[in-house]
Amino acid sequence: MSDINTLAFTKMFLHLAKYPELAVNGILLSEKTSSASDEADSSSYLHFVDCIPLFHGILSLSPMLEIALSQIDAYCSLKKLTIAGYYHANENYSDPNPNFTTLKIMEKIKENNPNAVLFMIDNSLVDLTENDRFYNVFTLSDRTWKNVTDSHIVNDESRLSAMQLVNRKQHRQLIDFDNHLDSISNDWRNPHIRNELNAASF
Amino acid sequence: MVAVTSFIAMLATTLVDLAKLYFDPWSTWLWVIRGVLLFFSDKIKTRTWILYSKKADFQQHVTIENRRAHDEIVDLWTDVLSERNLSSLGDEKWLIFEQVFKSALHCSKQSIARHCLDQLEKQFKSTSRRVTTLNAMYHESIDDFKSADDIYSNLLDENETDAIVQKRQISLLKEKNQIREAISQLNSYLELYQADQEAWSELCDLYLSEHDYAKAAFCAEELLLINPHNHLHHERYASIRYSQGDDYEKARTYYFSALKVNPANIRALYGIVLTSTNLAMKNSSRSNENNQVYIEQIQWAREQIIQKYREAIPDLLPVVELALQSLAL
Repeated sequence: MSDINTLAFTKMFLHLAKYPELAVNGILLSEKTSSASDEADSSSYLHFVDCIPLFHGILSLSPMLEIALSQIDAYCSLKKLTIAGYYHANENYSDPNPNFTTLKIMEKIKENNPNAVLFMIDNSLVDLTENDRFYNVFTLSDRTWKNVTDSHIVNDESRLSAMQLVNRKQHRQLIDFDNHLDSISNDWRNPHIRNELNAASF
Repeated sequence: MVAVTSFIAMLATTLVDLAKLYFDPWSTWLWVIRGVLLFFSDKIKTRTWILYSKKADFQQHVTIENRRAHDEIVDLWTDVLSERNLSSLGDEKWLIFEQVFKSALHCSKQSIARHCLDQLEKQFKSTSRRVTTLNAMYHESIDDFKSADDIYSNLLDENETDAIVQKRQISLLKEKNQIREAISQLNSYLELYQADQEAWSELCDLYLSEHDYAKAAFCAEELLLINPHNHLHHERYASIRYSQGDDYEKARTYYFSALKVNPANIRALYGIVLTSTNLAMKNSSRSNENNQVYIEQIQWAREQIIQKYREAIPDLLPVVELALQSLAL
């Protein structure tokens, strides 16, 4: 069971909008519950509150992924959050299936959080005027993916905010970890997006 | 005001031409005056272009940026260019049509693409290979892969050395998710066109998507040979070797060479921390000499990183310092 707030949903969507022709991926953060256990707990509830876009283009190189995860981990420990989700969009428009890269990265994330889930972007759902979400949610166990999208809740405000921000061209302002490494003054925490959402709240 | 000056200049040119015809076609003075007038009318035409302020943005997007913001180009089209009569641009407008066409395809705005393509086809009829290629690209975008492939095959029958069409056929395979075939055809292409950086880069990416690090490294090596002064080539090669997992020493070497070419490359600094840490861990049981060097270099790289963050984005420093500590031995 999981839900997602407007900020995380919107940032994910903006990342897709910024690089429509490339593969993209990123991390989703949830609140750290006091009962966080080291074992996979299928009854745990994940409340996603933030999103850190990672890379665009080539997603299968490991050094910068390690750097990114170490920084996001550090950020989480300071903010009482935890890495609980990973989103992945393939380069090919009509391919909504997780591939080998997805598997490797999910396994790495699950080392620290066995309850982590995959948000696999489905490009055919990207029209938010017709769909309430643009991804399917999967869990991973023993290298098998299980679709748990039905137990994931998205509220209407997220959908509308995401569309509104893309209309206002805010996706051009989104910073992912690749942008940060190109020029470190680009802040991968995207505080300006949070401000935009607060200004736009209705 | 500028349009008027341009008009007068062109009128004056016509008058000079008439004068040449009537009086003396070889008169040096008339040639000189004509030359000067043409020079000015051309300059004015170009300035007219730039004066349309949005068009300056357009030019920047098309010629300067490596990363083209296709949605910005499409916006420029819908907001500005489509409203205006483009005839004052002369032959430049065909380039604009071509660029807007490609950007519209990227943004799935097929109607805009169709409009631009119609204008190009009207002008260049069916004899232009370049426009025929664009037509095939349009078919690709509406998922009509069969027609696109047929058009490319016909173009290649007429001229089998056409590199651009060969590469488009390979892109078609990639679109159909036939990665193995795309790799195989791209290899054949590169046997002939060994200096094509774009193709080596694409082949490298295709191998990486298949997680074939060894072959990707080979492509990255070719890129290094073609252009050893590009720090990104060094850094990419290093990252591939690191991802492969069994030659951290080589990865480390190339992170250092990337840094030498461009001291501002932060990925290279991070790469040095990672590779040296891994090497020190591997050698922990053996001689202390090498380890001492690795440890010093880790320390040096960390200080460089922290210094850069302190200067550029001090807000993020606590996170980065904590992260670096977690990577420590």
